[in-house]
Amino acid sequence: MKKLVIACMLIAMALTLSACQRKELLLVTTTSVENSGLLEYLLPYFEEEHGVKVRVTAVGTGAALNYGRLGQADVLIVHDEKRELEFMEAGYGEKRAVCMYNDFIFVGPDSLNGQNLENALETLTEQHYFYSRGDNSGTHLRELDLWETHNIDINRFGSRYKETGQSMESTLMMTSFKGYYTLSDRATFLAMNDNLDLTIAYEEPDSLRNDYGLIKVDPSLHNRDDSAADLFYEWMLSKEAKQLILAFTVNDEPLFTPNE
Amino acid sequence: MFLEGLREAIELLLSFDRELYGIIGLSLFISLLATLTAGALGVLSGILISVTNFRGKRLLKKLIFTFMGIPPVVLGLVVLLVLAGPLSNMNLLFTRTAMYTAQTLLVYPIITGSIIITSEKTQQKVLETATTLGASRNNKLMLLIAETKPFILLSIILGFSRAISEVGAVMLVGGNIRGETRVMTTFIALNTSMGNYGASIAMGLILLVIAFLIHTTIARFRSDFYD
Amino acid sequence: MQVTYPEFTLSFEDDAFPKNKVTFVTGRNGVGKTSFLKAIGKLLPYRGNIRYEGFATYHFQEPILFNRTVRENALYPIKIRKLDCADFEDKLKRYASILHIDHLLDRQAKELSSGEKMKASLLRSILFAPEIVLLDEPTTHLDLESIDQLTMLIKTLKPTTTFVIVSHNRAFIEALSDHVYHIGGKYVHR
Repeated sequence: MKKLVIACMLIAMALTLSACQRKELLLVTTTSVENSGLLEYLLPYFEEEHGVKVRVTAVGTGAALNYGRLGQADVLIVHDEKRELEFMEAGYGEKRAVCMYNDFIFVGPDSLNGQNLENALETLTEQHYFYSRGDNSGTHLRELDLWETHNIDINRFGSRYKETGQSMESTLMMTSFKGYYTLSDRATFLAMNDNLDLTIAYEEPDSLRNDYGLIKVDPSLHNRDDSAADLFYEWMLSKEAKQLILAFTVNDEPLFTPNE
Repeated sequence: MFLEGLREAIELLLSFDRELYGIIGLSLFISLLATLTAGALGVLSGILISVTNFRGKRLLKKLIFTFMGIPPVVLGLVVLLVLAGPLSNMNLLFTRTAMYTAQTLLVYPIITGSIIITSEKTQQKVLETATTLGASRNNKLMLLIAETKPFILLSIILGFSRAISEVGAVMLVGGNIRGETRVMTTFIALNTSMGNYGASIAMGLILLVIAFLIHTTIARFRSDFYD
Repeated sequence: MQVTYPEFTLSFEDDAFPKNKVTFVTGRNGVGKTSFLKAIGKLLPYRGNIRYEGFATYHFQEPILFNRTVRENALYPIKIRKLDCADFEDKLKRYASILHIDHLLDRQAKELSSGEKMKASLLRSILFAPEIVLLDEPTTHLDLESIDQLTMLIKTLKPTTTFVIVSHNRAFIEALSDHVYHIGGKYVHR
């Protein structure tokens, strides 16, 4: 019995030691990126090629940037240009690039039949119930931005405007259940399409573009080896990655478009 | 970061922010109402089941004990599917009523089960003694209720504790909608994922105080009733 | 009278436990004294004949009191018979003082010492004047003085009550008994 215990301990030690040998990378991203399934599909290519283990955590954009500030992440993939730039300006990031993009779309039970964006927004405030993310996520901030830029007063919604404070997935499910409208990123919507009773109510890919920023956290914020982070950063912007991203589709539609 | 959050938390609490206190109020209101409803039903069920003998009593007891331990989020899932499916025309999804219902369903087996467990301990000897003194079945029922009173209170407090601290069911059936169905626990979940640690800690402190009050009350009951 | 349990049978003559007398039942541990008393008190099923008139109350060796005052405990059997408690107030005080617990009447029964609890429980068992009182080792938890008090109480009640008592306390038996039956001898068939 004693021998068995010692053998187990030795094996456990060996395993942990071997895990320590492999390089590790902490990638923090937003839920829309992780839940789309992109990383699950993409990362193994990188991990195999470079022998690096990527650990992924998905949180809201605010929390993700926080982790960056605290040096709790090596690389970030988020989608909130304004706050990303603030982050970089404050010196928390070493380098940044837009690695891919898609767009935001309005979804709901029916099409909004709007000739333009402003039209669609107005129709929403006048006639429909709307779920907002309400969580300071990239999507939420973009939504608020839209009202402001087009001078739409959301008070016109009255009580028909509700904040869920939840993830895109939950919000989409709720929207589908209730027959409301909401703003979503295309990737999450497509990934969940089968479970939803919703259609694209209004889209305008050029105006509603959603850029995903790749940020390498300033290594001086943590005392880890940042060579893996460099490798990943370069790889994400490489031709190989771009091809892979383009190939990640649902019904022949790519969820993310790599940036040129 | 923690100290900063703590400082923000205290500021928030002292500022008597309307939204914050509204959320606290809603949590207490829904959980209290649910516990009282479940309490009334549960105490009756628990005592009746304890005193009567019927076919399938064992099975019923096993069922109740199983449901005592149901994970709140699973219960939330069931209620969600019912409200979104067969009962969708009642438009109860993501409402306070839905949350109240889910919490009542959650707490009911806890109270019933606790009563059964504690009654059975007092039950046998009390009922036998009552028999030796010439009590009828109704007498015994009344007696059992009177004798189990401290345990009844204990069970209700336990039930409330569960209701106020769970996050799974109320998140699923309530939707965490700001101003409508956002409660302390879902508020914490949201703000933590947003990185607003100050707000989360503030709410967390309140929850801790409530939990602390609940458990000291329980402890006092326990010591009062060591026979 | 013959009483049969799953394991064994007891036989007594009819009228073996005469009215208004104190009869003791003794015997080794486990021989069936408690079961016998419980059978009389209708707490245990049996086959056979046990006949008596009136109500027989069985008093546990380890009694439990209800979550209320001593007085309320004692008056419980009276309350459930829908009788007027005021009628019994006199007797209550009298018996309580014989047992030296009259100063405890308004105390919570559960707070008493084990000896006081025993006496309170005994008080509860006799106050409503049952015809037959079955005591199972009533001297448990009682000090010598208390045993004397109990003896006095039983003597006081004897004219109107039939007692059947299980006990192993020689002095107690000698002070009170009119008859003693020893189970394990001629009265037991296996």
